Amino acid sequence: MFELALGEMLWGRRAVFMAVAAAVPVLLALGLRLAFASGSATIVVNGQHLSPETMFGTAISLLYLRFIVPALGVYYGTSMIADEIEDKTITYLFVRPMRRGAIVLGKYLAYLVCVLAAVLPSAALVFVVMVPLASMGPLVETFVRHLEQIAVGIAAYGAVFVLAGVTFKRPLVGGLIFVFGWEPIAAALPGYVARLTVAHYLQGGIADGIGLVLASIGAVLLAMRTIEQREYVLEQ
Amino acid sequence: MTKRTRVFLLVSAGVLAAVLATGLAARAAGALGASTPDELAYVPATARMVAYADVREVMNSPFHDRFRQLQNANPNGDSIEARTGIKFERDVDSVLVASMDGPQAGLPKDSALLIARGRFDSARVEALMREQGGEIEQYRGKRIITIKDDAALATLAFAEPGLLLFGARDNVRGALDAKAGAAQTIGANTEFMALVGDVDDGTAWTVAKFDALLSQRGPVPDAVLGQLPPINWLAASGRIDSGLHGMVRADARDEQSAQNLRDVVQGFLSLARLQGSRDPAYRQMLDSVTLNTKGTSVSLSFDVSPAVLDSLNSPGGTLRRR
Repeated sequence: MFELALGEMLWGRRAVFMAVAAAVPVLLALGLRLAFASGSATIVVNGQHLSPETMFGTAISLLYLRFIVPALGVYYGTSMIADEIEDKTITYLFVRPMRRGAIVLGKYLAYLVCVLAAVLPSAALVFVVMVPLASMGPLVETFVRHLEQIAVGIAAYGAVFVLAGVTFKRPLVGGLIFVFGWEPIAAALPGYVARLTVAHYLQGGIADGIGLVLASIGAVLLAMRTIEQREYVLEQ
Repeated sequence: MTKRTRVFLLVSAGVLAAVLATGLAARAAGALGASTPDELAYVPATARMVAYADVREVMNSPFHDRFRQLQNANPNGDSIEARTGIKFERDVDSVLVASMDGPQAGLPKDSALLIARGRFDSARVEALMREQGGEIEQYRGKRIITIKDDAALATLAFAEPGLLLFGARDNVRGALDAKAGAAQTIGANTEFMALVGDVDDGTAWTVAKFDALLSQRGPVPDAVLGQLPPINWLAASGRIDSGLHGMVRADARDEQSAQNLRDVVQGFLSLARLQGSRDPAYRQMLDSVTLNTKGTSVSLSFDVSPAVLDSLNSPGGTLRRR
């Protein structure tokens, strides 16, 4: 199941979105670096000139953690099972000599490998392009921490939306509302509301990260249990 | 798993590993002193003194006003503004000054090289210097502008976008030679670079051959300098945040000289404490002074809190009375 799903994700039609998501930040970084190097562009915030190093941190925070990682999580996570139902091909998977839960697990692991293999090198290339070699040394730890955040984010969003995919009939719309509607609003609200988002734990410390990984495992296990017990009726 | 899937995963892992390896190598190099300012690549090995200041950090610090007073008293800074139209406060982010080994031919006083990083309108600066009779020439692919000013030839070159060199013509040419690899840079001097590595975390720092300082007439009388034990290197750094944290380090020729130097400094400190015992602000500053000796090096560190500076600068304070 893992190999089949990995091949589909990497070389199927959905791979175009992933390729664009991985390539755009690198191209943006290249453009910015060239503009900085030629002296034709400077970015000033509160009278302070933003260095490429600061720009790298901003790119990771805004571009990857706020947009690319959640978007890929929604896009792949919700479609893992929902697409099979919509295409009426889930029957063929269910008749294979394996447990239903293994279908979810195999597809989720394929999603993890596929998206990690595309997004982490993309972030690494952005780091190389934006940060001058002389400044790389002190930023390596920060860079590794960013990679960890991205990896945990991919795992967490994927797990949440694979659970949504096996539970709800139209998970994509709800997922998009959650990621691009609820999460930014909740983050801006005072009090404990922000704790009802994945982004809150992504930007937390190590304990939050471990908590998020455990929650992701829990969500995948719950998704496996749900698909084992649920009856899917294919629309004619 | 298909072949192209395997290739994709291998390439992906390879990119990630290569970037991590590059970062780790850069970090290891940083531990060996590669985190020093890039501008040092323009400083020839003949430099006897190098001083660096993060102008932006100083400007943004609560000590800004005091720095302005200091800058107004610096005729060299005014000279640059008059010749080039570049305002330090507005245009410069960091500045590195190097003093060269021995006077240049025909340039007995002006042997310094100034390397400034910031935002410069090269066309405007060039036009202003041409108005003052500046002549433009090409050297190692860079346009350099030279003005005949009294006895000296003041030269300016935009070495990179946002990086200018200013100083005597030979010094600017020497800097471009060093960057191009045609002359040895100060980076080859391991003793010097080790000292830079020790002090370059400050907002401003300097490393100098002590005899280079002796050759320049400073505030310390010759009679006092003559009594000092032999010193090879002098390094100083200052970190400015809400206060000023400074460190001065002298590397003596041998351990006995270091011990003698420590005694001399200790004597001066005792004298200063005696003199300043009635002034609480002065005494507070002296109390923060720490003197250490390690091998052949003697270091003196001090902290000046904003309250102490305000007290010293207030009417009736030590600085005012002077």
